[in-house]
Amino acid sequence: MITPRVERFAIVISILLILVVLDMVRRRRLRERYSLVWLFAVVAMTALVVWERLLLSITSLIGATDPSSTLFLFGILFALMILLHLSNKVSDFSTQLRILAKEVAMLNAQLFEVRRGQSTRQEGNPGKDAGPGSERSKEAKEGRQ
Amino acid sequence: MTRDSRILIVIPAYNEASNVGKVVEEVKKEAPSVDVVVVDDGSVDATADVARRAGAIVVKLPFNLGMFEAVRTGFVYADRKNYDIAIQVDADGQHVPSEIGALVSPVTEEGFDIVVGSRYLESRGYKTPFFRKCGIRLFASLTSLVLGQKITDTTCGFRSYGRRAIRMFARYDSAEFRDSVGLVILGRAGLRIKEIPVTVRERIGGRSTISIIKAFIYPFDFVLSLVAVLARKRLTVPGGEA
Repeated sequence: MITPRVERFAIVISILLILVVLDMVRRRRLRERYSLVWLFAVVAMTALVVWERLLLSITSLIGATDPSSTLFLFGILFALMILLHLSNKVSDFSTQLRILAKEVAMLNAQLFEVRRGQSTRQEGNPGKDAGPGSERSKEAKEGRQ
Repeated sequence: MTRDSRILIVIPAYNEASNVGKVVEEVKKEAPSVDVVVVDDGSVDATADVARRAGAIVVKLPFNLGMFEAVRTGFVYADRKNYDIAIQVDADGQHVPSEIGALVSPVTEEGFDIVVGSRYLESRGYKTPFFRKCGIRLFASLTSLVLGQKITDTTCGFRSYGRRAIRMFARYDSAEFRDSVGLVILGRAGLRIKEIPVTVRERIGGRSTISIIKAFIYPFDFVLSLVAVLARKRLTVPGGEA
């Protein structure tokens, strides 16, 4: 059964989670789109705890005996949904990364060809390296803002 | 395009500094008119330098993507530079460069899109360890069944590809294109495949890159990819410029 004590505990946890999610969005550590999913989850779980009639009717609907297992079920389902979503994203990223890696390799090969063509035409101008490392870290910083 | 086809030799190399130079030189000696591109698959040794000194064009991947992705990078190069034929040769010296001509003529003369070297079409003394042989048999028979054409060796890395095949590999980015499943995808797209017997030598030096865990997962991966490919729509050959 959901006792008032459990209810208070659940509400405190929910509020904490909501604050953490909102703060992450504020600090740009979490994109708004993902935060919506998380906020929805927290609100839904809290609603189930607070609104006892809803929890009981869902419990009897799915044939569970204990309301707390309904809560666990939804919690786990939610975590699974988010994991599946993340796996999907990882698959996308690995495809994109592969394409980018190939593109970088192609560009490097072309750059090498161009430079060799230049150095055979005019000796004494080796073509200074612009230092790709510094360039990259600068871009990364800008991307974070 | 019979005699003056532009041919690109694609050599995927991962930490093959001890072999790749010799392979490039051998290929260049055998076929002086062709270009050789070595795709360095994120090696940590001197593979790229050795290859460049031997006279190859080097395309260096920023990190290791695996053998097949390295080959495909070579195809992207071939596609953009408008080569007519791309020939895949292993960097470890197992393939015999004098057999390149035999891989080219079915494409130029008979209109095949892919010519696959097979170690088992004729017995030429290549010995395969028992378990690997079982795996290869399984892949070959499943591939033959799906394609409706007899294929005896799907894992050999000595192949040649015509323009249409190059375009398929270069422009579709799907992880399922490897080895046998790649043949299935190309076959289903209407490309013509021919197998010819080739000789495979023992490695010059170094060790094979196949680990035990990979060897165990490979068959499952293969079947899963095959099912996935068959469940999807057939791909068509992309046209036009790269």
